[in-house]
Amino acid sequence: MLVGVYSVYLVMSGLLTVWVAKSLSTSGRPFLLQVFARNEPRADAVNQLLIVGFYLLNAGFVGITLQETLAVIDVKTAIELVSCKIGRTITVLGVVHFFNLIALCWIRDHRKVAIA
Amino acid sequence: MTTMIVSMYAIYAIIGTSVAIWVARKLDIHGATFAKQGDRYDSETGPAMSHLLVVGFSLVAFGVVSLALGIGSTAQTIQQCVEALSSKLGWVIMIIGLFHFLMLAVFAAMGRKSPIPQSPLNPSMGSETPTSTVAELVHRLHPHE
Repeated sequence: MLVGVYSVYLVMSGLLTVWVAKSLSTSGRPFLLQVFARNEPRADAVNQLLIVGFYLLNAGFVGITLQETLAVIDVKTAIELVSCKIGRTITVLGVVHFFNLIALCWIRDHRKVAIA
Repeated sequence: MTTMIVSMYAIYAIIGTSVAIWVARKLDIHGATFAKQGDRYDSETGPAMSHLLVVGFSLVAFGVVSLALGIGSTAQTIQQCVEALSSKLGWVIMIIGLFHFLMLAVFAAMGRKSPIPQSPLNPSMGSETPTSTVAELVHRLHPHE
């Protein structure tokens, strides 16, 4: 039963991480292009490296929070456990995402001032 | 008993995720309008930023829905199940609503026109402006001095 909980948790966290990373890299690209004055190779390289960092941080977080000491006796407990674990991961992901956005805006605005 | 609580969880999950998806879609459709009208974002970064904000909103909304699922796990009767379901959904919807207003504030800030670049609010001008105003006042009061 616990193995089932772990696999559901891992699969769902993986899918969520890939989804957020994809939207970050797609939507973050215009910002990076603006910051690096339309230098496409540079912006794409930075984008890829940022995504690698994002994947590493998330994989680490999911790995650390995987272990569970509670006894899973029935389906009800399993559902509660999976839901709680995934909820925690998604909320942390969301909060980190907002910090990313603030950082993106901050870099963009300050770079603009420096150029102007 | 377990079946009853599991079906309560299922109903909760369906309603909770539906509300989260519905609000996120509304924000996605109407939020882009704000970014277009402000002058802080161009045609590329505006939609990108509004999409990223909606992604963040969806994450937090789904996280809250998912975290609250386990509330009321000790319900014994159908009445307690319904009560737990209702209060759980109420709390989650209210939190999503508050967060929605926060997002509206962010979108409104995105749609605002930025102030004139060299306004008197510029910090470098701050030290000079009051002095000149005082000098002008003195000159106006005592024009012959």
